[in-house]
Parts: sequence; C-alpha cells; structure tokens
Amino acid sequence: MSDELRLNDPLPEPVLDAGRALYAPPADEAYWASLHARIMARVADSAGARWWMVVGGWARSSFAVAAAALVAAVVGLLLLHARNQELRTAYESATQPTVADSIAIPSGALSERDGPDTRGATFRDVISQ
Amino acid sequence: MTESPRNDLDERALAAAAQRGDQAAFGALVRLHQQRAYAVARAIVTVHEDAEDVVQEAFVRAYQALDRFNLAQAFGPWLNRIVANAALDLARRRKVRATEELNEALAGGFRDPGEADELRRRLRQALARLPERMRSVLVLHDIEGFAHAEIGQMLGIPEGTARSDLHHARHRLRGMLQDLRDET
Repeated sequence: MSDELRLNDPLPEPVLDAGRALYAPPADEAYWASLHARIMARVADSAGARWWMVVGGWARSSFAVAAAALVAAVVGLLLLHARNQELRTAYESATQPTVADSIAIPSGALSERDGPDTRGATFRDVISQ
Repeated sequence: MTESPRNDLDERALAAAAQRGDQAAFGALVRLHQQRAYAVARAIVTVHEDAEDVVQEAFVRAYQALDRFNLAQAFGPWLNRIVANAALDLARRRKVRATEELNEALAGGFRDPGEADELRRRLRQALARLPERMRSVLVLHDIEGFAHAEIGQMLGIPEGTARSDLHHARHRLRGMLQDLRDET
C-alpha cells in the first residue's frame, strides 16, 4: 500500500478485498432459502391485494358507466319536460282568449242592466237623501 | 454484469410465465436474482437488515409491475432499477435520523464474524463518512462490478455523473486511508 496512487487508478487490491469482505452477502444457503420464502409470502399477499385491485377497478368502471347513464337519463327527462312545457304554452296561447277578450263586455248586456230607467231611478234616490 | 443469451432466454420464458400469473415462475426469478438484488440494496442502504427489507419490498413491487415489464428487455437490469428505487426510498426515510445514529447503524450492521482486520474497520468508517450517492457508486462499481451506465440507470443519474462520483469517492477514500497506507 505504500505505492503512490493516482486519482483515476482503481483502489488498491487490499482495500477492494476489505470492501468485498464488508459487503459480502450471507454465505449460508439456508439464509437465502429463508429470504426466498419470505419474499414469496409477501408476493402471495400482494397477489390477493392485486386481485382486489382488479375487482375494484371493474367496480369503479361499472359505477362510472351507471353514473353516466343516470346523468344521461336525467338530462333526457329535463329536455322532454322542457319540450312538453313549450308545446303546452303554444297550445294554450293558441286556444285561450286574450286578456282584452276576457274583459270586453257585450254591449247588449250593458244596455239591458244599466238602461235609462235604472240610471234615472238611482239618480233620483241619491238626490232625495 | 451482462447475462448470457441462454440465461436471457430462460429468464424471458420465466418472466412471460410470471406475467400470466404463474407464481412458481416468479419464484424462480426471485431465486435467480435475490443475491444480486441484495448486493444492489446493500450498496445503497449499507445496513444488512435494511438491505433485506429493501429486497423483499423490491420483489413485491416488481411482481405488481410485471404487466409493465417489456419482455424484449433483460429482467435483471429492470429489477435492479426497482431495487435501487426501493433502496433510495428507504435511504430518504432514514435521513430523518441523526447522522450519528446513522453512522452507528452502519458500524453495527451485518458483520463478518471473523472480522478483526484494521483495514476493514477503517474502511467501514471511511465509507460511512462518504456522501450517500458517492458511496453507492463506489460500492456498486468497485466492489459489485457494475458498469457506469448500469449504475447511472439504477440511481437515476447520467453516466457521466456516475463516473465523476466514482472519481471523487476514490479520492476522498484515499485521503481518509492515507495514514494507513503510510503505515503498511
């Protein structure tokens, strides 16, 4: 290790050996078998979760479709109602008499009820009091 | 770190089967890759127990992401990226710890029972003082044998940055081990 080292040179072999020893993975086969078993247990758990995520995805899609259908139905009903209202208004305006028509008094009725005799009698009654 | 064509073919078949929901095929992939995954995780999180947690988490993530795995690619590099991401996530969570506590954890990590060597003790201390990414790059390159491009992909940094990190990490390490070199 007493050799002069340059910056871009690899680290000296004894340092690399020490590093390999520090970072050496466990050598015991039983350790890796145990780790494998733990990994697969977690994978199996996540597989169940994944299945529920898929079902949840379907449920979300179905809900979205149902919601869209409901919105479409409501909009359709509102449009139908508005159209009916429009038709009714048009029908009524065509069939019902106008305001002027409803306040017009037949000339015959006036002359019968408020004829000269009736008006004269009323005038005399007011004057006498 | 390049895998042989034969292994690639076997792995592709296993990965395809795993994508179809064959858990035994995925188990075979785990068996093939768990030691390399551990090496990648350990290079980043340094502590044995953390590396073990990262490996488990990474394989679960890989299983959940199998649909997105492109069978035209090799499984190993794809998995290594997932392992490195899981390790970086854990390292970020660990940053809330005090530095002293982290150094203690590093010193008290998985130990070779036969270790009595002064160089190893000093090297462990020196590595603990390196910035996290520099240490990861140095361990992945000099100890685990990954190429700069692979390290860049794993850590999400450009290849040139991986080279530069390695250069600075070696420089710092040499400085910290200078007196040891003079003694030996």
